[in-house]
Amino acid sequence: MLHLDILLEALYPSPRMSTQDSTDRLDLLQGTLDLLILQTLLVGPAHGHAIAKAIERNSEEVLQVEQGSLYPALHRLIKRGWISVTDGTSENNRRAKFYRLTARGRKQLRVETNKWDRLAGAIARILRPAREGRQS
Amino acid sequence: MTRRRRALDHLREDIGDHVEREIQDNIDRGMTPEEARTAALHKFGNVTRVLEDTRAVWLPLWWEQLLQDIRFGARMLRKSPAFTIAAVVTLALGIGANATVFTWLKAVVFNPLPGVDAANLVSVRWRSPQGNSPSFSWPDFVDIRGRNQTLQGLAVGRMTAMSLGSDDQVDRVWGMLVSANYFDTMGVKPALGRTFGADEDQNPGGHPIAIISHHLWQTRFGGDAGIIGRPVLLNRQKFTIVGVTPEPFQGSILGLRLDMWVPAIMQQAIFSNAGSLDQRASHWLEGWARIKPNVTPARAEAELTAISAQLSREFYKSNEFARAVTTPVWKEGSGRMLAPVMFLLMTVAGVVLLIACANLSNLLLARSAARGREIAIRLALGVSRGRLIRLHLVESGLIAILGCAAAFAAVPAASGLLGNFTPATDIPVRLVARPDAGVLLFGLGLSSLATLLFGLLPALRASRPQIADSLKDDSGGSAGSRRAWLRNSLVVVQVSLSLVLLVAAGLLLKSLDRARDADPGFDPRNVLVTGVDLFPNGYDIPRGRIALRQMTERIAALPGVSAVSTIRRLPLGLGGTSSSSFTVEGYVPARDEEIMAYTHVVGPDYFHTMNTPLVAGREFTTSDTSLTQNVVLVNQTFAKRYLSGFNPIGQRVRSSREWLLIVGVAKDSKFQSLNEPAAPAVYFPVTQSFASEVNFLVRTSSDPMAFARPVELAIHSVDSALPLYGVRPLAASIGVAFFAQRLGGSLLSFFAVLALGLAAVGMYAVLAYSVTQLSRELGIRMALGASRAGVLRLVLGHGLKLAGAGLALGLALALAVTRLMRSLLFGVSATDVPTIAGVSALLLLVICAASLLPGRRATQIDPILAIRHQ
Repeated sequence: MLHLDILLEALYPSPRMSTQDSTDRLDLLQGTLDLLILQTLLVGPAHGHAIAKAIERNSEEVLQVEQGSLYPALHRLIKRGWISVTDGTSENNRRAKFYRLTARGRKQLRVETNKWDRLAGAIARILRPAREGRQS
Repeated sequence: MTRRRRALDHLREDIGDHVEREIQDNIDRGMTPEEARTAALHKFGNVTRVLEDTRAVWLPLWWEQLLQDIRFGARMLRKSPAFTIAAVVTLALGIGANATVFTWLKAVVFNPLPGVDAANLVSVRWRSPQGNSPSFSWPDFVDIRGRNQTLQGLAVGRMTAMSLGSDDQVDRVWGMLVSANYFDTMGVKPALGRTFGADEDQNPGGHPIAIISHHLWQTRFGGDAGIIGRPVLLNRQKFTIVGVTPEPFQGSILGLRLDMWVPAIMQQAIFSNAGSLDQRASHWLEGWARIKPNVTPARAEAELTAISAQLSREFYKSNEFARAVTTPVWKEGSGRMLAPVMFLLMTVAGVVLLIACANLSNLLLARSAARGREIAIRLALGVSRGRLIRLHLVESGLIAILGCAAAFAAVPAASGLLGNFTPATDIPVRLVARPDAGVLLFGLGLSSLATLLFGLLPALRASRPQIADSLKDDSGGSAGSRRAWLRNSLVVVQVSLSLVLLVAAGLLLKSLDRARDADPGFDPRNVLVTGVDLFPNGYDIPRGRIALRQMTERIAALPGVSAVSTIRRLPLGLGGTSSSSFTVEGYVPARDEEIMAYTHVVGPDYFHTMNTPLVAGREFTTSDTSLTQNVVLVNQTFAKRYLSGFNPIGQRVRSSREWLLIVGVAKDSKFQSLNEPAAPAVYFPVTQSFASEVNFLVRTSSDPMAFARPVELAIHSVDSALPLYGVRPLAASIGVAFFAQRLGGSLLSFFAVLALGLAAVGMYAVLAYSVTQLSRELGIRMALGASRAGVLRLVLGHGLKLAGAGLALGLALALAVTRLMRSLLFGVSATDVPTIAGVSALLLLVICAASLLPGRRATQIDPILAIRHQ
């Protein structure tokens, strides 16, 4: 049930998804955001700001997160038990909340990555049926 | 609660921390602190919304998903307003019709006596070994009340009209003489003052006190706060008001509003021709009982019957006794007449809702077919079928909620329509039908049911299309044709159900028509009716007779009046009829045979005034007086049954002590209902057997209501203080006789037309959809040379095939159903061929019209466009 939900959400442009006007950036689908967070935490625990920065950096700023939308996503992942949160001290000795990947989250990430590949393939096929038709 | 608040505080801290870091980063990049803060906040986005969204995440998962579904459903509905409006209006009609009829049903059946706790409350009647239904006598009541173990309370009462006021303003009000425990038995607490105490059953004539209704208090006494203790004149005698009943209470007779209650022991002052308090043989009181909670009605009846047997032995030394019969209060009075109509209407409204649901199902099916590609993508991505079904049901639910809201905006006004059918009568008919929380719950329950009914099928269907087919092509392969089958059967069901309703409505309307034309045995046209009640206005029998004679003479002298007479109870009115047992000289009854006949008290010239022909003899004249031979007339059936072989004129009959001479035989006429079987009747002259309540019958040369004022003046020239009531044409008064048919016929026709309209829309939707789906095929046919007429024939043929199937199914259903409404029919058989043929033709016509539009659209398809389009 849970793993399917992400995909359905991916199809619902919900109002809390951040979208940007500029056309050369991709709209960030919510389910994708979850995936990116899990991916980012694979390297090690991080606080919210660091996660946002990492996502921007790793996607070479093509995917632009409105940073606030990170928090609902983080809490959704906590609820599903894929990440956990602890209080800690950051590099410059400031108190901060650290999010870390759980064992279940690690497994989930593998499943989701797989599925994402399938989804991308399926969409690609749907969007190009005409060309395939002509080739046959 | 506090845990949630703490979590929120932590979240705020976390976000604050995040923004601080961003500002620091920005400053490090060389911005001024203000620039850094603005940029950071901009990049973070709306903090309040983030807080809100995160809190939404904390909600249970199913709730979160439901919210998503609702948001998505609402957006889909907004995106296709035409569909949404059609669906909401269809459902609103269905639910509105049901809620309205339910309001009425509740008023008639479930809450028959407003302000009274009707649970365990029954009316008590008696059935004598001879088959009569005597009511209570006062001594019997007192004994039975004392001896029973199964009743919480037993009360008696007698409805009667009273004159309220003084010489200058006298009003006729309806009230009841009641035993002192009446209000306790009904479970009614006074709004002001008190109810009657047990000692007010003692000392006949010694308690001139009255309780008035809230309505009378407001209208006649202006809501005077000092009403308690105020003296009033009732039938010209001084009474003191001791209480006011609460607002909803209007008495214990369904559909009637009473305004005044007086202790039964004041009977001498209030009720003229009643029996007396001390005679056991004088049956004049109706009984109500509240049965103890754990006692069945059958046990209560058995006990009451046993007590009745005891009393017979003790007081009459007789082994004959009357059996007790208890009836739930809603089956009494007008409930007996209305309840079957209400149940019929409820069924019909249910059918209309079914048709509406079928329509919605069809709309949704067509739409989900149009959305097949979107759904297929979802399924391909692995969305669970359950989730998809839920999404569809949520959409249906939204439609249901909108429909329900629209329906309830209309229900209060619609339920008031019941009042429009109130028959013309002098008694205070008032059916209270107000929608309340119960009706709201009913409507909500109904719309949930409707959601499942119309939403589930399309949801199940839509969630398993052939993925590959739908992705490749829109025009539908095998899945498309299976779905078409479903849509077609829904239309067939709709057509058949609306045919059933049309047939039922047609039969009722025809009954009404027949009833209107039926010969009641008198001519009701151009007759004015005016009621007077003499006893409550200070008349005794001799003075009453003189007054009646004077009034009759003065009215007869008016220009344009061709005849005047009087009758105690109007024929075909709600006033009821009375009957007596007779002995006929020279007729030997069979064993156990009792000669029962309706009795009527009429004035001189009655048969002439009513245009009822006399078969033999003469009618009453002013020379039949208390000093001359006592005479009667009988009707044809009486003469045929009991006087065959004799010349009836000059024969004698006896009802009480005296022998009465038959002076005439009149043609039969109807008194209770138009389809009553011929029954023996005996007419008494008012000049010899007095009646206090009298209706003047005035035959006029033109519109009878134009004579209302002159007749009133003529009566008041004899007694200026005598209140008149029930002034109306006789034709309006006898309308009461087919009140139920009129109510049923009008409403059923409304529902039938509604159903027909819905079926037509359903047919249109299905054909229009299939034309869209088949546009490529139609285009190819036309490109290959099919004519426009051929294409039109194709579409119309499809529509007619469906209509034909629906018609066949509908006819079979109608034959089964109309059998059940036989009791409401008059002069029409339940399988009346012209009616059935007529409505079938109408149905076909409407369906053809509905098919024509999509048909025309099919002929306008441009073959080239249609083929290239895909």
